Amino acid sequence: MILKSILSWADERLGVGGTLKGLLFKPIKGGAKYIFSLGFVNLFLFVNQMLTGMFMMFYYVPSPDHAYFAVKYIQNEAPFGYMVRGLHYWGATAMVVCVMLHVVRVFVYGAYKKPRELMWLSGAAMFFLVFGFAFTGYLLPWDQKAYWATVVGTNVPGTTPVVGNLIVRLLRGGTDVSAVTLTRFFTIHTMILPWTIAAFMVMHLTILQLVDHAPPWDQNKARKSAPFYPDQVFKDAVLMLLVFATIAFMATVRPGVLEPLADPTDHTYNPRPEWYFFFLFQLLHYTEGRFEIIGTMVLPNLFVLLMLIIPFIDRNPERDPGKRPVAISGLAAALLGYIALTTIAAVSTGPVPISAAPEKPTVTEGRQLYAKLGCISCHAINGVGGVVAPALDHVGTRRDRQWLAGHFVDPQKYAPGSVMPKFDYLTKEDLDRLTDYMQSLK
Amino acid sequence: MPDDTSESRRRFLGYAIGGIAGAIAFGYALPLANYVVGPSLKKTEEEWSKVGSLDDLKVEEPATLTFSAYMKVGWTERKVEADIWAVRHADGTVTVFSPICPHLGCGYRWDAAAKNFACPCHASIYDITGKILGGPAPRGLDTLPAKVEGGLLYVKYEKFRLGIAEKVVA
Repeated sequence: MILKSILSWADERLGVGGTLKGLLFKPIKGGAKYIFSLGFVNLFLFVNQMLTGMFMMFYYVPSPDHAYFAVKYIQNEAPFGYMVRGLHYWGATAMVVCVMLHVVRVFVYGAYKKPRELMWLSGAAMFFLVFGFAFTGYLLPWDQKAYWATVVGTNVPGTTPVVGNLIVRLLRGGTDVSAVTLTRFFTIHTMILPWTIAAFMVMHLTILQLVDHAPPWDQNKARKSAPFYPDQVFKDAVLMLLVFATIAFMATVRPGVLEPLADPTDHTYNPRPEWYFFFLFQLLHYTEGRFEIIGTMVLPNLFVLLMLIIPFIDRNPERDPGKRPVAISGLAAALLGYIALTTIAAVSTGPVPISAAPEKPTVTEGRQLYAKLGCISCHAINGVGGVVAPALDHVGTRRDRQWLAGHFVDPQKYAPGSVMPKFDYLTKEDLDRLTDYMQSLK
Repeated sequence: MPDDTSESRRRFLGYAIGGIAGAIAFGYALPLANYVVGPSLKKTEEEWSKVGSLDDLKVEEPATLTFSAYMKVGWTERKVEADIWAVRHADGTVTVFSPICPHLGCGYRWDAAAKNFACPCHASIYDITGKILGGPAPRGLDTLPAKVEGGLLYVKYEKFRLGIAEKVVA
């Protein structure tokens, strides 16, 4: 009652009630269908990502000193933090799946054809943006997987002739994945991409109202009709509930993974991407040497290009998939290729990294001590750590064993004026471990 | 024209949509509200801090001891300097007082001549057991959990709400 009077009060002034009612009860050609709900589910998942993303920012700090511990706090200590992060984590996966399903559905329906080319193009832009989200969100927890996957991921465009190195530097904000990369990815992930995708979303939904959705290609089926509300909205709601229940369930039984703190010196780590990037990962196994660029640049960019020009090269107005053998077999081939590459990557354990000569256990222990003693707050390795003290890259080539071990105990004796605290309380074994670790940095 | 069955079907679908939307809204509101409010209401749990050696304390002669405590706030841990008043008793036990006057939070001191604790701000006076003798303070000095192990004094540093008659952890 109150709601009704507020609405009529507003309508008296704005006069949009009729238009909105028209949209709400607009007939859906072909009747309400679950398959038409995929777009709505993507919208729901986007809202999920925005909501949980904003709430994670309550406790997240985009700095190598804090990011990992902040995420750990969210995951393990903040009340329901595991759920907030889990909904974001699994929501991202669900979004990748639903976006792909939506694209396939639209393609099968021939909904990229005249007059819906702009609908398709704005959708394609969002499709690419979703992968941009997935890629930039990866680095933010600053754990081993985050760091190493980003090192490899940002190296991929580095294979481009001429401008490769420049692209890598632009992505990383320097030569290495560092604090600057983290703030860069954070800003892209939480500011640039959300606003950009929101703009495309407005475009996509406005165009939808103007060109109307693509009804079933069968004229007989298309003649059926049902109002958007409540028929289609009910189906949208049911699917939304199903997706929400699924990601909430996954967040509970399979909480978001958090590996150990990123360690730029640990070259034994074998990074594997998230499953939806497996195809690229696997593709890179087949294209080596001078053919590598085919996997890293040519095929992915060809795919992007194809998505953007498909409405203009396929101008046959026929939408019945049975009568579009070329388009549908092309889709089938792409899907099969994607599924096959993903499956192969999933079942294989991955290559043994070349640098996998087993590390001396004392080096590993030394690395753990380095982390435990907080050396990272003053010293940096590979651009990660403080700036107060000298960076330790290649320290193993600059200093000998005796210097290193003596310096830990009495830094001022070896480096007059040094502000480094004395580590004279460490046992001989621990000093040896730290020295072994320092010597491994070459 | 909608007949009765289609009218009731529409109404049912409308309720179902509302129900689903409500359930999902609740599904978000519960974790998100807890997530934001929880840390604000969480009681800070203090760890035992090593304050000093028992040998530094003379029997029934209050002394102020300064020490470093590690405070964990959210995901950060930082070292803070803190001090306490300690009174060693003949039986080897120690009474430890928070250094904060429970009136309005000034630092009080031991007046060795008068043999009482005196707050310089508003002249609250306490005896050596912390009992209030005079002045505006609503309660006596706040004792802190303390233990002696191996000749060393350990304290759990806590803060209490000021200006009220009861000792309540802040």
